[in-house]
Amino acid sequence: MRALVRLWELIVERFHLKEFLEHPVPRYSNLNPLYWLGDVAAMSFFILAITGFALALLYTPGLSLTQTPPDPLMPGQHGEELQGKKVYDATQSYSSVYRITYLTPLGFILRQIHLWAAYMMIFATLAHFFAKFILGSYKRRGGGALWLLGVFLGFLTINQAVLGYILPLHLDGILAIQIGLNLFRYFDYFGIPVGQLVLSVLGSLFVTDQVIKMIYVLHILVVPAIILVLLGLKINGILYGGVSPPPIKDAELRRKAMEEKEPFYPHRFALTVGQLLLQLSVILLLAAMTPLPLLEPWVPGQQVPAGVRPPWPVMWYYTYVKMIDPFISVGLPIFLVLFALVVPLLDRRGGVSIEERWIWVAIAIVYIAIIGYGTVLGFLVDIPKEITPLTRISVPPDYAVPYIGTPQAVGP
Amino acid sequence: MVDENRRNVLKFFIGSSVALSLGALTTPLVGSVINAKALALKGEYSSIEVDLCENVDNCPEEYSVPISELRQGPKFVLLKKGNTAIPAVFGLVKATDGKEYPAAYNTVCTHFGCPVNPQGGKYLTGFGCPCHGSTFLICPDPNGCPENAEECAKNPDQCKRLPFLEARVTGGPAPRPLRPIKVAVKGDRVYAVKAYI
Repeated sequence: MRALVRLWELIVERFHLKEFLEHPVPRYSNLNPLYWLGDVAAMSFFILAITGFALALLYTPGLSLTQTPPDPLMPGQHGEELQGKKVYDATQSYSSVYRITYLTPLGFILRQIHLWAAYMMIFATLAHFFAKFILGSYKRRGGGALWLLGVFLGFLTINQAVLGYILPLHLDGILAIQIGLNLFRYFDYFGIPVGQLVLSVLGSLFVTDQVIKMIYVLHILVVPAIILVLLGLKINGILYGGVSPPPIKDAELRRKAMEEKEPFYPHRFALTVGQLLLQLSVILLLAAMTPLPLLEPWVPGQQVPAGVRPPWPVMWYYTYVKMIDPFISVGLPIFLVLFALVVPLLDRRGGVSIEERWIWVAIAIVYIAIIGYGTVLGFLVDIPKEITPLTRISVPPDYAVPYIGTPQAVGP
Repeated sequence: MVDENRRNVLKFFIGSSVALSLGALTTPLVGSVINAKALALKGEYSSIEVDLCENVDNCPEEYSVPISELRQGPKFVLLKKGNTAIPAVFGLVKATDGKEYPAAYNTVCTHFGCPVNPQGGKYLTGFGCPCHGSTFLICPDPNGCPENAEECAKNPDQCKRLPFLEARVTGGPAPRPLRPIKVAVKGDRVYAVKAYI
């Protein structure tokens, strides 16, 4: 025991951990939940990394045809249709996820933790974004750069979620990859051949083994590595630049609040550990109460049932795609992201308290409302869509008759 | 001083990304306001031609479907050439002249790329997209289908006709007809010769 204590002391001394452990953290940030959400997202990322490592070892990407027994959790009418059969066709990716979930010890809970942690990370990222918007944390010195980094990290988080959603190659994942491969073709229409670039890198605009391998590598290596580096950069920025100032109007009170500090260890450390444990319990509770099914299998050429819906993080976008013309449905997310990027330049005057910048708080609420309204509406109703002159991007009538030469009749 | 520098760099990056995105978004809007047809020239790379085989005589069997099978209903074939995979649906179209014409289409929806479902039972009449509800109808008239039936009834001389067998958009957000696959008949099989992706 003495030796262990000595070893710990040695580590603390040699690696200068004392400075880190005793780093002063303002007391108000330990008390205000608006300052905890970033931690939730970061901790979710590490939970995802650990479970993802195990899943990456067990998963095999591939499109080759295999057969799988039905998923007992499968919901809905299509699920019931499949329950009657003993086995059905699926891709290799799908069967390997089935194998992980139902035929590997602890595989079921591993996958559930990974999925629920992913949803939690997205939710925490969004909540963190709005919390910092409302706090006006980009107003402090260095806050603008951290804000930009945060927006970029949020973008990567959504990317990572979509890539992971594709990997099991269930029906919904296939639709996601197809949309992902073809969405960029709108930039071809806009005069910039981005769709061509995607094609030249991946070789196909329909899912193939190569495409799935690329998605796999991006999901398990490239994007997490970028997230990790940027996260380190951001944590370093906060460590030495300080957290956002408290939303207090009175200058004297604000100064007082900022001067009142606590060491990171044990105060904030205890908070973070408690938060992590709470987070893990919530994830386990969610996994127990609502385990996420494998969704429907898919093989190339299979009919896609009508009424498919995307998962909740992109539901709001789906609603606007169906409701508004493609020009705006491609433009709306670009506008929302651009707005998030330029907010630090627009909102510069005044303090950080709610009463001084209520208009920006109102804008933040409208921003939340656009996303929230779309999400709820997407689950509630099917929006009919009419063709109007605005619903089309003018594109070349680049049709061709499906014939070499003149069409030729067969038979009687 | 340092702060001012940083602000400038920040402004430069944000400004250039805003300018790029706005440019990308406004170009087609302005173009469509001025002249919709002017865009047609720019958009020539919106679909790519893939030569599956030089001509029907040296086409491998994997790109073909027997006509007898097509009589049972539309058939899905995943055409593979190198790294490219093209999902194709072959089918027989019952034309208004009473004859059956084999045809094939790339089933990637021209809106957002979802795989479309063939419709029409035994004969191929059109396609429907399950994701965002686009519908495509194959023109069954060998003389071409009127683009706007009402206008064509009024003055047949100025009637604009869409080509035979084109899978035109009849509903939903798709901006253009379904991309076709050029087929040719040899013996009792239909071969895919050229595809558009």
